[in-house]
Amino acid sequence: LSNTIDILVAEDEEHIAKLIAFKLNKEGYRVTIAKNGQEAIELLAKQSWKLLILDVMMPVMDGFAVLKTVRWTPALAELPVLLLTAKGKGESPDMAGLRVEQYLKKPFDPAHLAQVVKSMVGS
Amino acid sequence: MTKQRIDWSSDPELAQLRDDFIGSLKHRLAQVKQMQKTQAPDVDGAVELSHKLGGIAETYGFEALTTICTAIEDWLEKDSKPDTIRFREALELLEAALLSAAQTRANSTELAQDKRLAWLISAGGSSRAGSKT
Repeated sequence: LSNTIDILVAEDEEHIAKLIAFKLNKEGYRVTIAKNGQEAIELLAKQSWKLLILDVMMPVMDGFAVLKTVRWTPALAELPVLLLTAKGKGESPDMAGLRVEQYLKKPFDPAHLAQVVKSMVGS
Repeated sequence: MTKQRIDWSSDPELAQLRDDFIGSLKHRLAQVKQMQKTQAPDVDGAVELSHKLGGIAETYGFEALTTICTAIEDWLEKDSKPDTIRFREALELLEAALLSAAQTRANSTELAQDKRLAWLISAGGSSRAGSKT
């Protein structure tokens, strides 16, 4: 069932995080928000997730640090990641040398984000 | 950004989210005013504010605000010691864009045609300012 798909959103900007949560909740996903990278790592360790939506620029611990932790942790290494990058900032996944399944540039259209999420985890 | 207009009135929760964002612009405006008071240009503060705001505004329907933030950010990343007068002009433009957005005038023609914006875009030399991916 779609409502059993848990998605973690690591995004410090609350107006973006809440809009993502709103849109994905409407699509039937269960969304949890982490306000920074540290909080994301703690939540990732607590339960299993189908997808991590990860902002790059965050306080405490940025998105690349979270991504490294995910890829270097055997239990999390295969977790699909959708990276949110700033438009034109060169915050590409290649910079970190780490795999991400998808990335979106900000500002983005929430409907497009929902389509990308659906393509990654189903509905 | 893929263009697909959001109907903010289609859902009370969605409308509330947009109201909250518009409400938050007062705080951002206060940040700009504070920067205008300092003698030396607060480049880091302006870059951070522009980066954050630029990444959100268009999603909430304020394309002009994202365009201006992007242009300011690009310019300041090219010139870390900007001319004080130019810096103040950039902040004035940002202030005008914030006020316009706070009045829910999403894409004010005056802002798009403002000569300060044209200068910022040319000085930033970016292909992303004013273009949408």
